[in-house]
Amino acid sequence: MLGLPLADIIVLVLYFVIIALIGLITSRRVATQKDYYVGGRRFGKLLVMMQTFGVGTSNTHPILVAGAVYTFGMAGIWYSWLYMLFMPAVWVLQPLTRRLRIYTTPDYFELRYSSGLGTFFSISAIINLCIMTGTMLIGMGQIVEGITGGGLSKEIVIPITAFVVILYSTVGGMLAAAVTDVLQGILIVILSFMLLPSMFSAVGGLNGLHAALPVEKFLLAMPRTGDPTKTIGFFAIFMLFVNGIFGNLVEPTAQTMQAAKNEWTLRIGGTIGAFFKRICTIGWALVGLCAIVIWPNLSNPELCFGMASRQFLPTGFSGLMIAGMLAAGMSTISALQVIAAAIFSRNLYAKHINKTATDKHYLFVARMMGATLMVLGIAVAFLFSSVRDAVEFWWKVTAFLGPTLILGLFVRRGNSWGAWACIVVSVIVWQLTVRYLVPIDVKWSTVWYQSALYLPAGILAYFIVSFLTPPEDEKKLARFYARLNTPVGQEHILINAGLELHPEEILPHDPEEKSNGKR
Amino acid sequence: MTNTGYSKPETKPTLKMFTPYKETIGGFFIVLAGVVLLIVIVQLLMWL
Repeated sequence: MLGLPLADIIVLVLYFVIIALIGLITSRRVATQKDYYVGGRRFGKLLVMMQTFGVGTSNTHPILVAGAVYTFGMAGIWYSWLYMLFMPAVWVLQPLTRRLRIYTTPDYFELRYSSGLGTFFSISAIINLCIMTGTMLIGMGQIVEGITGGGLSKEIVIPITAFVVILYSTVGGMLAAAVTDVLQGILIVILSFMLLPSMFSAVGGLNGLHAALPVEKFLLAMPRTGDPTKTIGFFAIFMLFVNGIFGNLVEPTAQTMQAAKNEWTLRIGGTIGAFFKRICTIGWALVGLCAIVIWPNLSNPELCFGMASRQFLPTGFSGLMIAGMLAAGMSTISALQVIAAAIFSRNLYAKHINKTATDKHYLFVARMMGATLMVLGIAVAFLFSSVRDAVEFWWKVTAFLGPTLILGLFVRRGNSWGAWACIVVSVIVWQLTVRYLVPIDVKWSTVWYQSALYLPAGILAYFIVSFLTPPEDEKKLARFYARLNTPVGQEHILINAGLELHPEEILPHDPEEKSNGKR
Repeated sequence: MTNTGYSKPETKPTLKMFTPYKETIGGFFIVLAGVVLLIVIVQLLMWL
């Protein structure tokens, strides 16, 4: 039935029951917008860790990494390790966004630059969240199709999954997303490595792999030979890293950082969660490497993870793998749903449509937006030909906006005119590259070559225009940098200085909590 | 407990944005070492 044995179907049904229960239980703790958007800012290290792992590890990653390694060799691992090189910098920078005491990423742009830029970011973030949701849905469809051998097609899987996410996530909010992250985190860690023993035995271990594949397939950085669009060398890794620096904090998913109860919790939980992901990535990469030997002529490399799950997992575990993949996708999608809901309700609806509604009304609007995002995500799911196309598109979009966020943290003279110039110039340079350079040399079609042009151009535009136009309002800047200089837990300093802060941000006066929650 | 030792907030970008310094700098190098170690281990495993 459905390409699966009965044991697998029972596991799947059990999974859906558990997910529904999580939504129901967590919904009891969601009474306000703050509860819904950022889990009441109560998340401890475990929830932050699993959420970082969960939001960063969607079901698309095993497919993406295994598929990329199938195409590029081990260097394909950088499709997921992209942000790893940036992790030490994340350790330093991450608490800054928590210090801003904001809910959403567009809040940053309103606080630092202007309402117009916040609105622009809100709209583009919602579009990007739709793309990300669509990407997750494609991934789910592909992997279930692969595992069931086509018994369950993506045309069936995508709408069903979307419907279940709407059911549990619209009631449970960020907390429901985080709790399912814990569940999926455990499943993914176990399942990522369960495939390997039988796959290794099929290819004759590492010795068998070395005998069957050329040496460059084992290099993390491939030499610059052959087709530049299929070679990830040092230059590509470096540029992906630079893209990561600018793209990381600006991603709307950075909202999940706001759920941590303090900076130390965010740092520890976030770093361990991110490391977990990198370790799991190794398992997915090895699946891709073995797949080259087992199925040497796959027309769609992204199917190899699903095919491996079908062929090399024992009965009962295929159902668990589908559950794991669905959990991975659904927990990420539910987080995206909450983020889009928060952005729409706070940064668009409450600012431009209805400024005087009650907290309950905004919560209702947010929940409706979450459900709408899913419907838009389904539409997007069928627009992209593959997961990799969608991910590469996403990298570029975030990189256009990223410099304005990072520079705004450190360049006081930077203003909203400079920020607009940065975005506009980046998009123009990107389009010129696509139109005029790609026909001359195909290497310009890669995200790493394109970003080598649009990033410096955008940053230069930011500085030139910022210094040629009037600075931002002094009071606004004072408020922004005062928050950055004041650790979470020391809100009384901001209040004493007469800087506005929403009353709900004031934490109970606990001397033990005053310095980043470290005891 | 770490005391950041100031009572009036700075209103421009300062190094105080990175308080507490010990945790920020120490953690940076520990995470960096972890990243490098992971890359080296994976590459060595691939060459075995």
